[in-house]
Amino acid sequence: MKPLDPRRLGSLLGSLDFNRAPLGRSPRGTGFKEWLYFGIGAGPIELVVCFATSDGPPDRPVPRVARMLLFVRDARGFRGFVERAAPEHGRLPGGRVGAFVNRNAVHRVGSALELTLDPERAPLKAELRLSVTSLPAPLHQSPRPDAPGMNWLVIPRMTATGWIELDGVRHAVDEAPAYHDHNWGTFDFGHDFTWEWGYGFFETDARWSFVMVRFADAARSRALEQALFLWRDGRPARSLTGSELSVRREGLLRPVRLPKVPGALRLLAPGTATDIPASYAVTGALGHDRLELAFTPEDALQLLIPSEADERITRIHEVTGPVRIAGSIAGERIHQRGRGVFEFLAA
Amino acid sequence: MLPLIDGALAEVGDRYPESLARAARWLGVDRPELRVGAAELVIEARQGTLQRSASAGGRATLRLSDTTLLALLEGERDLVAACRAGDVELRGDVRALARFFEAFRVFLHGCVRVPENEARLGRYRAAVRGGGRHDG
Repeated sequence: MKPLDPRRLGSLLGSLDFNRAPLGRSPRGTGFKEWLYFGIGAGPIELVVCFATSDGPPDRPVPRVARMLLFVRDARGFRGFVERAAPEHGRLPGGRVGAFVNRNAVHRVGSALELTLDPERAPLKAELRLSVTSLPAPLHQSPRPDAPGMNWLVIPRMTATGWIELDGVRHAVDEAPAYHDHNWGTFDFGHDFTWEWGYGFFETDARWSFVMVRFADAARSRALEQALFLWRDGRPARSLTGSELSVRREGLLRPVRLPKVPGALRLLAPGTATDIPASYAVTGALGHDRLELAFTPEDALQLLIPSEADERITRIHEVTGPVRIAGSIAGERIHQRGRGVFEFLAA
Repeated sequence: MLPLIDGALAEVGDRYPESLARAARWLGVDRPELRVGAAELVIEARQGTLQRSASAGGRATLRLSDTTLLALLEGERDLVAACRAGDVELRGDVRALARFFEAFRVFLHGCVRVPENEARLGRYRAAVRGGGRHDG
């Protein structure tokens, strides 16, 4: 198949991955949120970086603050860090591709995104060039009024080249699998919704990429919307949605340790009990197409977010582990193993 | 520690007054006392908000070191484990201590939503770990 044209990919990045960052605040009782997410599977180091901004309630003098979330997992397990910036030192500039939070930044160079990490308190630095090797897909999900009205742009497959320095040791990164999405929407954490969402790191010559997303009510007793998106050779190939999918969560992960970010909220959300499943399986069927996704959670970190609806805590579990996709799409057999990165939100 | 608490009370009161109002409802007429290292303060509910009190404390006292408080705020230690290890000392009426914790829980929820508190915590961290004075 003809390779994707880098100039076209660069043009798509510029026209789709720009920050929405509205100038005004939402007139509704909910806050605008926008974030740029990056995942890098650099062998023994799995790295998640998120540049995020959110408005406070519309009637409060709380400035729109940019922060960077950094989750790194290596042989020691997960560690998580959050860094905020004063408005003059951190922003997702409206209309532009990229973001900066103090000395951490991402910006576009052609069909690549260059990521520089130099956080104040984390023992990690990095310079990575993330080259786009799949077509971006703009998506919108709005399961119901009190669930997140989410817009997102997904780039399921990129390659990362550069270096990561962790605990003083520099690791070369050479065409490691990477993922990026860009999210924006107006919703409050703490309302009656949860999400499950994930993707996989596969070898760079693997043909297939996937993104799974599912919204449910807070009790997870009713799915509101679910979809499994598949790309072949970097091009959108199949979407399985709604009743074409069935999801099985079995057992519960019992992590020995569960790092929490930000640390202060551990006082309000102690312990290691979670509702992360021990195994998560998705079966999709449409016509003659069949696909099975099997994710086995292995390790987790808990991102704690003060509910905007009341005084509870929303928990977003960042989870990694082995993932497998297998089946047949348009007569082509699929069997890929890799590493999965999933989020399980508990309201 | 006092500048950390004073600054956080002021900011949360300014931006999330309903948090302090709810915390004040939990306290009722209690005046819990917090002793962190050599610093002491008494908290009370007055006019629908939380503030420091000039009166003597009573019914519930929580005592811990700056090092332990910082470790708790950084998420490095678990509160229950710190109590069991004797690094957090709780004295007083059990129900008053429970109300104090509920008030603190609501207050902390507000604190985390105020961006400036991260820098304030950073200054406290530098003072505790650097052995310097904490000016807030």
